[in-house]
Amino acid sequence: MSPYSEKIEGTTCTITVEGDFTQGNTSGIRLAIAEAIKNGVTTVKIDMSETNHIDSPSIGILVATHNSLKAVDGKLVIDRVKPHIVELFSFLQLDKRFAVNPA
Amino acid sequence: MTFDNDELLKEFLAETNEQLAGIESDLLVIEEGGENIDEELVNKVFRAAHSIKGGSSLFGLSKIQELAHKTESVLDLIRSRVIAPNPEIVNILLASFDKLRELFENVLESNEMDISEHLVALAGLATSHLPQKDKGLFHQPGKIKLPPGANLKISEMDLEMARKNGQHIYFAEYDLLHDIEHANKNILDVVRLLIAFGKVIDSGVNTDIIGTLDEEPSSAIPFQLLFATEVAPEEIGQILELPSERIKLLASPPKDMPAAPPPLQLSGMKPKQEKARPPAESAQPALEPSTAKAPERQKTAPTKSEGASAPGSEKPKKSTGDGAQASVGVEATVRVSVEVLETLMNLAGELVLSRNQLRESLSCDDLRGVHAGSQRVNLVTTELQEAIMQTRMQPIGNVFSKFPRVVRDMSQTQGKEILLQIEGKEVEMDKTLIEGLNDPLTHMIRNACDHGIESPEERIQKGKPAAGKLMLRAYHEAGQVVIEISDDGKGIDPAKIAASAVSKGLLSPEKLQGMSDGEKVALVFLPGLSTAEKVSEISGRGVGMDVVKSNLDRLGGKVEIESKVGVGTRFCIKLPLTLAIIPSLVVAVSDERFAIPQINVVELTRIPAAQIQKRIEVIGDAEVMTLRGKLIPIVALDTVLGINRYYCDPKTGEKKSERRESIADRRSKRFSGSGSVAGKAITDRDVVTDRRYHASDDLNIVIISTGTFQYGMVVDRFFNTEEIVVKPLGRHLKELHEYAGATIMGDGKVALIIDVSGLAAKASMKHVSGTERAAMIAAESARESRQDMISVLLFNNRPGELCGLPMELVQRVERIKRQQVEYSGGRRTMQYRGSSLPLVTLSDVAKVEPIGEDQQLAVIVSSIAGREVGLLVAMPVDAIQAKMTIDQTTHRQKSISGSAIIRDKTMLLVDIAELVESVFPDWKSNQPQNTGNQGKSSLILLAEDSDFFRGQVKRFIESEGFEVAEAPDGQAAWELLCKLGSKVSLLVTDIEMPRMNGLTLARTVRGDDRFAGLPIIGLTSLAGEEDVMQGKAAGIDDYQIKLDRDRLLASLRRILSHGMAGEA
Repeated sequence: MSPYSEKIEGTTCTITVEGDFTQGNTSGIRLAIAEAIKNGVTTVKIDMSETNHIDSPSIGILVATHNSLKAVDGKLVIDRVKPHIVELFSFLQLDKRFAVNPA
Repeated sequence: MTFDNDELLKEFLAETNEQLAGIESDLLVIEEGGENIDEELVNKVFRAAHSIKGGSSLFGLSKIQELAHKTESVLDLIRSRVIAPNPEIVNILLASFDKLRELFENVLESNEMDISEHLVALAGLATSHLPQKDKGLFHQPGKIKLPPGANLKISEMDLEMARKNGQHIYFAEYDLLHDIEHANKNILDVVRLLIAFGKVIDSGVNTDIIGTLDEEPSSAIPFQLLFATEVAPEEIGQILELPSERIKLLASPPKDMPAAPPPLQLSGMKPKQEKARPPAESAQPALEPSTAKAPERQKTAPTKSEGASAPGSEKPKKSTGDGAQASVGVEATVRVSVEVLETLMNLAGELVLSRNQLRESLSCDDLRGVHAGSQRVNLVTTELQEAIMQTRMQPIGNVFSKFPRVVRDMSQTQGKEILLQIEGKEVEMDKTLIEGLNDPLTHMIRNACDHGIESPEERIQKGKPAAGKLMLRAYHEAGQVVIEISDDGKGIDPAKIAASAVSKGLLSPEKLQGMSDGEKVALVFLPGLSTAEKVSEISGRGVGMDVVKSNLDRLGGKVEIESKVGVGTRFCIKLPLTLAIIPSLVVAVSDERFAIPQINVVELTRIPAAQIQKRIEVIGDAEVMTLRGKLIPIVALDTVLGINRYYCDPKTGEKKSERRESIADRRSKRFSGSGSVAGKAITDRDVVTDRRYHASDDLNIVIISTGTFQYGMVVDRFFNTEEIVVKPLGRHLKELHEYAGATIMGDGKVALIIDVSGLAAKASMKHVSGTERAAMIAAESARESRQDMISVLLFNNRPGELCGLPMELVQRVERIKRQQVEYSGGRRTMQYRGSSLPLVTLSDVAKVEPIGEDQQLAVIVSSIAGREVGLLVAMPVDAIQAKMTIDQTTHRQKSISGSAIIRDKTMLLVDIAELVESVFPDWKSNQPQNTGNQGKSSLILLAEDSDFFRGQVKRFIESEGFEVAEAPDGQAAWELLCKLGSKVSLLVTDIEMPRMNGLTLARTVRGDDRFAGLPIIGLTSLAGEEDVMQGKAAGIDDYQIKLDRDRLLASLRRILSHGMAGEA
């Protein structure tokens, strides 16, 4: 049901989104990240190498994650992002809030 | 990347190509203008970048969009005079547009291509060229009140720019969840759409109100943006697709600014409205955009057609490499104005009607109806052909427009100054020709810049202006398009070229001898010859002029070259208007017909059977003919193509196979194999007579020009010149270079089209212009041209003693019986028309034998000194007109003015005036002598190129007591006249003269105030009405026949005694 995988190493949690970042996995990822932060994770890495599309609610999740991490002095890193999604983040100026690393 | 709608993309690419086409030259003009910015032009380029940006956003071509956007920003800075264009800035802009073109060529991969270099350069431009005070503006926050909660930035610079461009600044807030996600939109599409309408100054998600993961997922994700656009407040809601309460107008341009400035007027607003479709729709766009655009296109392209099409829309993956070539290299579609389409439709309708008419007439055997119908079909077809041709026609400016850039870049890298002048951009040609011209012309232009024009220092040293001139000209001439490329550079040294050709083994030193300079210069077209001592990286790319030539050959064109060392070089390319339908000469050999493109046909000539021996000869193993002093190699078409020859027996009409092996053969096989040069072998049969005598033995020869040399093609028959439709040859025949294609004749049979260069190559045609024989023939012809054309009446004095009298002096010839001659009072007379005609014979004065007793007599009647006199001669009497050289010394004696060789015999030219004067010395005193008021001082200037006539005329003018100053041509006469000034009281001039002819001389004299009153008498052999008119127009007062001494003298006297002529 929730096509993503999660790996926690120390204070770093890596989420790999399998496929698009949309309704299908949004809530699962949201819960997983919230749980991880509660357990002391301060760095959240999201691997979007397979993601071609991200919908607005998912953008909301990223912003909320960013806001949550800001409260614990942590950071959000989005890795291996496809060019058009990089472009999207840049329009939304989200690349100024958290790290967006292009693929 | 794939596109849902290829058609729409194609449309966009076509439009873009059109926009990119002219940009290069526009940028160059902008560069030239420097600070004097031509707003209209900058706007044009800006608009192009702008609409590329807009369009590419629709298709998700992000790289293109980004680059166009940055380019547009720089242009915007130029437009608002923040930065002034200089070569550095223009270089970057040019490179960016080149890159854009490249991206468009590889449109499917464009999003993966690297444009960072260009973006950095453009961004650098935007800041580095700002004046110091403006730089500050970039960082200074704009004095404008943003709505509360807006987390966006705007600088004073942004405000300033918007003001200058007449843009409003709006603040808008979307909710990503409701306005985007629930409305099934894509935020990227929305933003791209906005960019198409203006400038997104800043945008971003307001992250503060979203909360953390622990809170309930936010019910809204606000996305805010600051947007500068010309779109008016009442329309902005439509564009942004937001309710008005979420849009806030922050600033408006000052009232005196044009509300919508040039860049975005018509062209800005209209496409915007179309593109304003919701992005969801843009994924599957309907046909609407193209139909909606039709009227607009009509406006921008009202002419027949416009160079536009999708670059490589059929094979978008293929790149043609050099970006600059793209605009003409890969067009796969043609834009046609609706007007032309209408015409085509009408004509198609007409054609259907005509067909119906024909069918009707045929079914009821109505012959008249069939005639009328076919006439109609003929008419409609012609019109249809013209209309369709129009759709293929494009202005040659499409190719020319890239050259300013080429020349600019070359002059920059080479440190030369080159002024390029272009004329005739509007000349239209077939699309395929225009495309094919691109490479050869580029090569020639590069060559001219690289090898032709010298460096400024070198030029100044040679006394030329520092800046070299390169001229590119296109014009129509005789149904062809002529393109000239000329420079005033160092020219091509024929000796150097020749040496290079020999050293590379392309030409034997023997062949070189006798080659004219022009022919040597034309050697540049030989494959494998590169003149640059060091191959430069610019034009020397292993491709020589031979490739240029073969490219042009393929287009059915001809290229000629003229060059003068130190003065410059001029290439002249002649091309047909189209390749699809070409006028051609149809010829036949045996039963087969062939078409020869008219452009290659110089003339048609027929050598009568009787002249074959004289005019066809064999040099080495090549057969040649002489044509007006030129030696031209000839080839029989049937021999080259291996067609069995036959001839039709003129008596029986029976077809027999031809036994002559070569054109020069005049006897049957049996006699021609002697190993000697054909035509020289002596056999008993030869003694009788030349065996070619029948008209069917005449040779029909087409003189053909390949551009580099001429040759004659012997064919059996000539037909008409026809417009033939060129059909490509099938795959199997492609290797036959002697054919250029095929066509279908009126009777349904196929005729092959001859490729004249290919045929010459197959026949291993050789230049014969360098041979000894050619030089001999040329010399002979030159000698002939120097001879005087004289009409003489030939007669005999004694058998074998041929004499002649200039025809102009002959009034009548009477055959008489010996008894008619009377001797009385020591005078020889005869009764003639009721009075006594004094008779003289040559032997009365000259040391010639008297006429024999047994010879038949004739009397030539002349008028001398106002009286008629008869010259008694022996028959036969014959009249000829021939060129002859008159020898004035060998046979000169009293009453014989000279001699000439006619029909292999010496002819004595009789001076009848002198003869009569000697026999009747008292006649002269009856004439009014030149002892009048003018006295002996009257000086007459005589201009005449023929030594003989000059001597004759001079002698009899002098005999009248005038002084004569003589000149061998018009130019010399004019110089002499200027020297002698008013001493000259009359000018007598021949008409046909070298250097300056009589008419020009007369005009020159009349054009000079000093000689306004100088009478001029024109001398001519035979004056026609028209000549007289022409002479009068040029200012000649009177015309006289050269050797008609009496009339000339009378005219002289009359004119001199009355002052001016005019009454003559």
